[in-house]
Amino acid sequence: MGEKITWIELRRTIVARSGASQKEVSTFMDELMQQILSGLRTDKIVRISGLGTFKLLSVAARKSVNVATGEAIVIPGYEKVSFAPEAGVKELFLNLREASEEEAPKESATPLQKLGAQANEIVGLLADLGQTPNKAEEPESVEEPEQPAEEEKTTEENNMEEKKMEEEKPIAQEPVIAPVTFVDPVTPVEPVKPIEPVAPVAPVAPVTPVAPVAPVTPQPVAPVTPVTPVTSVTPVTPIVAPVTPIVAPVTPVEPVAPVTPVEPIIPNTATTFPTYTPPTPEPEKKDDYWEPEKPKRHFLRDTLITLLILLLLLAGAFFFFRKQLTNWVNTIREKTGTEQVEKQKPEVVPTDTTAVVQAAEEQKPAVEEQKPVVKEPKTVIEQQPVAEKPVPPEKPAPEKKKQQAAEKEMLTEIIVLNGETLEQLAQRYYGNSDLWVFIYEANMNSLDDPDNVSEGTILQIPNLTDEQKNVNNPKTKEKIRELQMIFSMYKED
Amino acid sequence: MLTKDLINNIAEATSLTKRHVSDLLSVTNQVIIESLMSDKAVSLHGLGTLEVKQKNERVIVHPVTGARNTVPAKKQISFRPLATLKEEFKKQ
Repeated sequence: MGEKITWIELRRTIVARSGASQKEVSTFMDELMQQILSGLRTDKIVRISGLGTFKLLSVAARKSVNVATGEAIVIPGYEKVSFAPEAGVKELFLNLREASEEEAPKESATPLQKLGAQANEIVGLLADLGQTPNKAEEPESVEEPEQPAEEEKTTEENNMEEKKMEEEKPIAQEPVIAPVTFVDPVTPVEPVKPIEPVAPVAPVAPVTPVAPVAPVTPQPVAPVTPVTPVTSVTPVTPIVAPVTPIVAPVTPVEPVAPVTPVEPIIPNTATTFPTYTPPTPEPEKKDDYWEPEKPKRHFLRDTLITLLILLLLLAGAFFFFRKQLTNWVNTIREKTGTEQVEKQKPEVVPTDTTAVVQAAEEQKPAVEEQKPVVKEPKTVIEQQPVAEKPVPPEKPAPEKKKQQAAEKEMLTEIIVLNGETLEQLAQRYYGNSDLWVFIYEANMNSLDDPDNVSEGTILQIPNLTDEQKNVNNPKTKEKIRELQMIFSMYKED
Repeated sequence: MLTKDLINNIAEATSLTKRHVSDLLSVTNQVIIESLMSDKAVSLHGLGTLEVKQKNERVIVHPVTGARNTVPAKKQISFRPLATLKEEFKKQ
């Protein structure tokens, strides 16, 4: 298959076969290919007797989904070139496969054989688990040697027993046929087991009571135990059926001579039970071991858990109080710095827009009153002609801090630079981007869209108290939520 | 297009007799099939390649009865058109 005959090689062989000149053959072959192509284009089919047909197959358009985007796409229909060999040519290759199979049968076992092999493996594994080794192998190997041996014994010792055996055999064979029909669809391997114990067990018992008991014991156990795990529900019922016929053929044996064959079956069932009983004592032992250990471990655990909790509490308390301490220290500093402004703090919290306007109105005179203070930054920054409006936002930030530290002004006006958002401004002035709502609240009238602030708009940034700035404060949380709700309502309108 | 038309067209185009063309055609068929049977792919200039593919034995299930049967392993001739030819017919 790896080899490939090229165009030139093909031509060479044709020249050698036909006896025509190389030129003739080459022109013929080129023309042949061209004719095939043109035939495909015009008639969509080219039939070459002795080889096969080249044909255009139309593939219909079909719907599909773009894997990346999930969009529905229609893959357009197209035509593809196909080749179908002639019937005679096809047969040549069908015959060819037989040769190939003979050559390499080892390469691939047939699927059914594989299934059979797997079933054999599983049965073997189960047999190992079930304390009786080589169950799967036993039935096939034991079958043939046992029966002739038994027959010989019977012929030597008792003719009477032979007759009885003959009478028994048909009885035994009848149930044999029934299980085969049931088991065949399920698994091909298993049916052998229920069959054999029936026939050999009964005859062996009368002849030699000692020897047969041993083979009898494993065999009936074998079919019963492995079957349950192999296939869960369906196989159980048919195999229960073959088990009961085992008892049936045994009972006719009883009148003949011995009750011995019946006895070994009962101990077998008994032997199976002890395997199940051990699990019950095991947990009792476990309980005995566990009870004394528990308190010991608890002490260790308790100490460890308490230590961990203490550590966590300490760490949490440290972090928690660190913030409060810093806040407290700041407040103390501010209190010492500015006593007058504290009175104005409650006015800073305006909920409604009207309140904002009122606050702004109130704040303007306050600014006028505190003119000397406002002028201080002007003197500091001499380059800027007008302090209030055209101050770039980067420079007012330090100004603002100074003002905050020195005297708490209610409002500062800034001009928005290109690409700045309210959240960025909030981050800069308040230290938290979530507080942008307060800026928007103060500029509701001048701003249409809080998400898209155009360059050059003048914003008034209200001063916030430390309580308002603290995002973890539940009051500010509620406030932010309320404002966001209101803004979203406005946006929808 | 049937074999008769093919032979006629080739004979017209190449100024060879029809008998000659048919002989050559049968020889080419023989050569192609023999090389395929010896597990060698044959490349057809401007068309593509003819090759033999091994199909493994597989189990089929009868949809109604549920009976399991095996399809025996076999070899099939398959044609793989050239990429250019494929594209040409895709556009149409």
